[in-house]
Amino acid sequence: MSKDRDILEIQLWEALRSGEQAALQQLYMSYYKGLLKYGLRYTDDRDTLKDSINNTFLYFWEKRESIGNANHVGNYIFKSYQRQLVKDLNNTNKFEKLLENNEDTDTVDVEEFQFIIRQEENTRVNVLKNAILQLPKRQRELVLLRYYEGLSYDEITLRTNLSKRAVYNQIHSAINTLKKDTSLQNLKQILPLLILF
Amino acid sequence: MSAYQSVQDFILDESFFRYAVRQDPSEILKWESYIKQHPEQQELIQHAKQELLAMQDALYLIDAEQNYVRLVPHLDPPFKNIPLKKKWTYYAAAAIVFLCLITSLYVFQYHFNQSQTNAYLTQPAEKKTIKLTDGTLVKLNAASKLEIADGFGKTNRAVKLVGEAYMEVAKNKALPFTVTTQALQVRVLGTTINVRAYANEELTAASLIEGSAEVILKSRSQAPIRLKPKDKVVAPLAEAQPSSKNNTTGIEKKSNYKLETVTQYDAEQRLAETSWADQKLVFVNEPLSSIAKTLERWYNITIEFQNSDISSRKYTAAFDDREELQNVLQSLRSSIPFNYRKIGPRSIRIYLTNP
Repeated sequence: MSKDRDILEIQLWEALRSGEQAALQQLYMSYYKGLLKYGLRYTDDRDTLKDSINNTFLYFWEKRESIGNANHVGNYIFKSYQRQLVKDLNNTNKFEKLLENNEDTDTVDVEEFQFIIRQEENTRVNVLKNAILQLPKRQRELVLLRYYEGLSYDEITLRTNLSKRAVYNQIHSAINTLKKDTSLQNLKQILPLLILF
Repeated sequence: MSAYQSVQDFILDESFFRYAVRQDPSEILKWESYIKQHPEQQELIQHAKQELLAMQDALYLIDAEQNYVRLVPHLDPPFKNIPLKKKWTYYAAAAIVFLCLITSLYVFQYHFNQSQTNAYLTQPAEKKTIKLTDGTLVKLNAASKLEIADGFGKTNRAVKLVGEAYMEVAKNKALPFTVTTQALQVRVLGTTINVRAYANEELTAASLIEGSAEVILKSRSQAPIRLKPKDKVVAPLAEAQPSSKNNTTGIEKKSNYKLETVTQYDAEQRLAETSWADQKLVFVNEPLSSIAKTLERWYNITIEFQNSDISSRKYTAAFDDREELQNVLQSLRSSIPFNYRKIGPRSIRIYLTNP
């Protein structure tokens, strides 16, 4: 990871400690993917994982005046999240697995999970995001199952009571819409930015 | 000849997904040997892989934003006591729906008992579709009022509009259909138009979707402006009451209206102007101040700005009109950042992101 990235994160961390909600949000957006992916190693229960992520960040916010300055923001966030997971997964008995693996938490390769979704930088991702949000509800749900949760067409068929053909056709038309919509919007999204600067 | 011909073919393939996103070792072997056999498709595959990964990130981003929205109420001290699972919102929503129902019933009955319908009203966050007696179809946007003249359909076809309406005017050559707003009047024979004339917006716009129409600006004594399909007249509201000075000198500003073309916002050539009638919220290169007015009407809230630097920034975005307000704001701020904070039960303040 680049030095700039580290410096930016330390700045964000300091801003968070001084009570800037925007900094909390940026860190949240940067680490969400990594934290969720890490949690999915231990459980498929996405709802619990999402709650754990929120509880972790809520802890940062509530304790912002007493938490230390973190030289390795990523490590600190992951450690806190692991503690939170152990707590939250306690009831679902998945946590033993987590504890078993806990010896190597010190050596968890944080960088493997680090991922910055710096929104202003990644226009393509943003354009796609907007286009996905505009899909008809049904298609959006299927795209989520297929590409976010990574279910196969057969698994989606089982879950939705649609025929496999229908699932495939809906996703097919969603992908086509995304292609059409994003090739045009790409330009329109950038234009206002160009005018601004 | 390969079964995969386009980027989409790869994106739709389960095995390719496992290779590009999951990086399953067995799939990697399979696809690496595929690339060796089809070197001409290497670029295509690279592109498909990038698309899939960008889509992954987009989906993570959507999820992150939606999940963050759940966290926000816990961050501000005034809202600290809201439990994580917000059951009360359902009750609140149910109560609002019930209230709306009662109100619309009341309004409906009020009109019904009057036996002659003189005006149609929409509340904030409400849209109405109305069939007029001459067969004209009207879609009335939120917080709008359409007044129907006495004798409508018999001696005249005149309506008055404050707010926004999309109209598919029934053909009747004998009786021209006129829409009067504070700033202008549109005369049509049989056509589809969209007129936006909100009292709290500086500009009035009349767009001709198909057919033909004329626009008479109230501030000008000159000949009517003839519109071709896809033309859009934009006139300032303030010109509606010209000062007496202007009248006596007889000098009229030539630039007191603009003839524009309607904005197509997607590949299917749908129009931004009439998108609201298709349950969409579309903004094309529109200042945040103007977007805020639309959101205020549609979500029945008030939005204030910390300073004008931010309200004049221009955004391009499109949403389903059933999208939650928070998602709309999150999505807007992701293209050019700003912050927002709930400052009352139905009001929001938008302020600049700290650098």
